[in-house]
Order: sequence, then structure tokens, then C-alpha cells
Amino acid sequence: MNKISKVLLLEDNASTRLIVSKALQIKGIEVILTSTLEEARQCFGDNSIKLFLLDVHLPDGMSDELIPQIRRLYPMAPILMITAEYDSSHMARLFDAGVKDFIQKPILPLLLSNKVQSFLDWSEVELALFRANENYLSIMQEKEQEEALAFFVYDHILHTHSCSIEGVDVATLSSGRFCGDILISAKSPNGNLIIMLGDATGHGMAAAITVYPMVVTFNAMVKKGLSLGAILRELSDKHSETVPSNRFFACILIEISLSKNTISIWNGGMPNVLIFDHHKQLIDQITAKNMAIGILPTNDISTKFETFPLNSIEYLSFFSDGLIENKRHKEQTLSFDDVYSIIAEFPSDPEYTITRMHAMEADLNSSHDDMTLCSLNLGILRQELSDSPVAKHSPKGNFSFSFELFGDSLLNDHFTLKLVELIESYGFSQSFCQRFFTVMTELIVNSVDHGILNIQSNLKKADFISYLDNRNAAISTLSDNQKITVSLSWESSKKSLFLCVSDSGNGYQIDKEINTSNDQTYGRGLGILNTLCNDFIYDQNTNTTHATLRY
Amino acid sequence: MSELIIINMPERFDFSTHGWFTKAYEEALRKTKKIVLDFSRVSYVDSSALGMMVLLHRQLSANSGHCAIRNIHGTAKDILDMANFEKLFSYE
Repeated sequence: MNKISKVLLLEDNASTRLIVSKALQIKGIEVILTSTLEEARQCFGDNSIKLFLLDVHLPDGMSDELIPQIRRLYPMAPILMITAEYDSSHMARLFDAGVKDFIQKPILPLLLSNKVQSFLDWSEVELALFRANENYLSIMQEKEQEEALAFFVYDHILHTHSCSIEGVDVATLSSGRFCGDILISAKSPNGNLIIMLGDATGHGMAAAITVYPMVVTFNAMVKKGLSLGAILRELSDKHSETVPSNRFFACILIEISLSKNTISIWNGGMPNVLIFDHHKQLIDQITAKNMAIGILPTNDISTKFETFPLNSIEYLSFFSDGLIENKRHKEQTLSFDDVYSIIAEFPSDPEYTITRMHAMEADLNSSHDDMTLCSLNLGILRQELSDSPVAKHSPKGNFSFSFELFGDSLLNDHFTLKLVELIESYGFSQSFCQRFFTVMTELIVNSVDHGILNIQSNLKKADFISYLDNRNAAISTLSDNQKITVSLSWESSKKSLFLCVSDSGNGYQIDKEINTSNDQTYGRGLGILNTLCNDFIYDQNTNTTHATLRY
Repeated sequence: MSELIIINMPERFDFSTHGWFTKAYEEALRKTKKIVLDFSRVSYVDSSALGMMVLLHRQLSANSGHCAIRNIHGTAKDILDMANFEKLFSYE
């Protein structure tokens, strides 16, 4: 505190003024000298005054009357009174009005200067404290706003992205602030149910900004019909694009497929998933064999799932670590295994279990982590999923178009995929589009490779490298008048897509092709076409292949 | 030499992928004999994919290596099943 401090002295006696000002100047304190109330008032605009030293009786009145004004203008500056009287009731009134202390006349210069210095020092400390407190209050206010925003984001996520489904029971116990737990489930276009329980590091806003992109991605990818492994990779990619690298997202992903009669589980950095049979007996636990999303680069994430027959399991419990950490029972800190056993006692009643676990909180006074406990009743879920089969809307309105490709334009690798995008835009299901891609590719490749380029039809399987070499060599002889003609036609009443492909080549004999390729896998890819098409005819007279895909 | 290497297959595993795929498995084969082809993302396949996988299988058997296929689904699974690829590769 070596700043020069400024003190206002109000004293009508010239010799006292001199003694006081000298004593203070020795301390390095600057003094403004005034001798009447009026003179003092004129200095009140000076914001650098840090302390007031006032004589009580002045020619133009008592300095008492200045005190309220000083308090208002200089709330942090101490006021000291110089007086020779001992009227204690007057002194008490002055203390009440805000005076900090009294200096008795006759003045002892050394005592006075030390006292003033001490008050100045203390006032500095008080000011620093006051500012720190103001700062603290504004930080608290910001934090509250952030928490409110985090809750808003969380609520928004839940309302826009989650659907409740019979058989998925969830109980949550919030610590009062958003801690990053989220449970979300969505149905894939293929009818599978996919469930994610996530727990983001941190809480409040930090957790919300980690959770948000994960939930949005999860929903978009499930809707798109991606496999569970592909969803996992997308989550990881999205995390590395949008979330700071020190924020992680532990999660459990579960896929229930009625058509395959399987349940697949992936656990990344979460507590064990508990598996129960029909008698509610714990039969297995899925430990976290993977790390939370965000720790490993996407390519290093294992997409290996633990898969069980759906009808071998009746209940499944999974939860966030808030449920099992820091729990005590009968004066004993519980191990995770103990806690798992307690949770396993009532696998179908998450509300009860969560209340029970909360009562075992080691320190009920300190704020606990969020607890989320989810229980799947697979009996109900199997029923639920079979009661609501995937509605497969077939596109209305017929369409048909045909096109020709000549010479080098036959070699465009992206052509079929662009056609698939076009077909997809009519609303065909993903599995139909996949089938269309393969069939269309095979038809075009047959015409180009075998019809036009004259590559042996079994070479692709027998020796892919020779196939590539032959193809490259043949491509160099490709001329602009060689072509294929493709036509597509959708008849909504027949729910069928008809494809015709013909080429300017010499054609082939279908029976011969199928017979010569004894395992039927190759031979112009005809095995594939036979498998994927509902009808498949080759007309040797027009050198045209007709294929029908039923929706 | 025994560490497992996972090749993450792209959305499209067809003729256009052959350059990428050949490079990926040749690189892997320099370091390991155990390969996993992760089909999680694969949606589109054609008969070239079968040709490329036969080639990979041939290289692996010559070195008594092993290859597994992970998370195969959709048309890709139908086509590999039709071609009896479970005789060449193990599914996981």
C-alpha cells in the first residue's frame, strides 16, 4: 500500500492544522486543508480522498452535519473526529452516524499519524474485500445463468429427441444441477430399438455441450438406419469435431433386434450392465471393455458388441456411476461389487432401487452426482416391438426414365450411387436402396465388362488382379460408339421397380453362363442377381437383361 | 506379428474401393496375420467386393493368417452368405 493517500482535514485552528498536516506529510500522506464546512463541501468532488479528519466545532457550524453527505459520497472512506470534549452521548451519536474513531486534543502527532495510517490501510483491505465480493456475486450470477441454460439445453434435448417406450423404465435423481446423464432411445427404420445411456464429464454447461452433439448425432444416425457400429463411429467423429478434447462421453449402447432375436451391448467407460433371467436372477454382467467416447481416435474404437439371444434375457439394468460411487451401509464403505449385488435385488423396480441407493450416500450433506438407473423389461419390449412393426410406405406415383452411356462415360464410378440417391429421394427404404445399388451395379458391370470389354466372366473371382489388368487393357480400346442403355420404371400398383439394361456387345447365353460357373457365385454376377431380384430374365434376341425388384 | 489389425470398411465396398482396400490389407499384412474387416459402415457392395475378399483370403491362407468379419448386415450380408463366405471368413 505505497500509493500516496489523500486525507481531507477540516480544522479551524491554524496551529492544529499545521501540526496535523506536518505529521501526516512525514508519513507520505497528502493533506487537503480546509477550515470551514463550506470549504470542506467544495472538495467533495475529489474522488481521490481516502479519509476524513474533522474537527467538531467550526465557525460555520458543527461538522456532524457533513457526515451523512460524506457517507453517501465516500461510502468506503473512514471518518475520524478531532475533539476536546468528552460528551459520550454525542460521541455515541457520531459513531452511529458512521464515524470510525476519535482523536483527542491536545494532539499527539506520532499517535495521530499512525492511527490515520492504520485506518487508511484497513480501508484498502476493506475495499479489496468489497470488490472481491462484488466479483464473486457476479460470477455466481453468471454461473446460475449458465446452469439455467444447461438445464434448458438438457430439457430441449429430452423433449425433442426422446420417445418413451413401454418396457424401458428409467429413474433419475438429480443433484439439482445438470450433471450430464442422459438416456435416450430411438427406433431404427429396420424396426430395431436402440438405446443409449450417456454420462458426460463435468456438469452444468460443460456437460450440456458434450451431451448435445452426441444426442443429436445418435438420433440422426438411428433415423438414417445406420448399424450400431456405424453409429458408434459417427458419435466418436462428431465428438472429435465439436467437443473439447478433455471432455469425454461415457456411454452404454444397446440394440434390440426382434428380427434377428438378438440384443447387442457396448459398454464404454460405464458401470457394469446387469443381466437377469426370467427368475430375476443375475446371470451376467457386461463390464466396460471400451473407453469413453472422446479418449481414443475413432479408428481405434472397437465396434465389437456383446450379443445375446433376445429370449435368454428377461431384465437388464444399467446406470450411471453416480448410483454406485461413495455408498455406505452399516458404517462400511461399499465396494462396487457390494453395490451391484444390492442393485440386483430388485431388477424391475428402478425407482425403489434409486431411493435405496440415495439413502446409502456416504455424505448426504455434500452434493452427489446425478443418478440414472434404467431397467429394461425385455418381455414387454419384445411384445412392444412386435406390436408395432415398421410401417413400410411404398412410394406413390409411377416414374420411368431411361438413358444411354457411351464410351468413356461408361467408366464413371459414381454413377450408380447417384442413381441410388435419386431412388432414395422417392422414399424407398434403405435396405431396398442397398439391394438396388448392388443389382444396378451388377447389371451395368456385366454389360460393360463382359458385353463390351469382353472380359472373361469368371476372372473376377478366379484372379481379381488379372481381371483388373484385362479391364485396364480393354478400356484403352473403348470407342465412342460402344454404349449401354438403361431404363428404370417404378409401378406403384405392382410395388415393383423394373430395370432393363442392354449393351452394344455380342450378348451371351444365360444357361451356359450359369452352368459354367458351378458354384453360381460368379458368372457375370448372375448368382447375385438371382439372389437379390424377384425376377431376372435375359433376352438373347435383344441382348437385354430384365430385372425386377419388388418393394 | 500377432496383433490384430482392424480395417474399417467404408460405406461403399465395390469396384471403386479396390485401390484403397488392396493398400489397406497389404499394409496390415506386413504387420500381422490376424485381420478384422469391420463392416459396421458398409451399405453398398457389388461382386468386386467378393473378388477382393477372395484375394485377401488367398494371401492370408498362404501365410496361415486369419480374417474375421465384424458387424456385417443388410445386402452385404446377403451377398456374402450367398457366396458361402462363412467358409472363408469367421463372422463376429
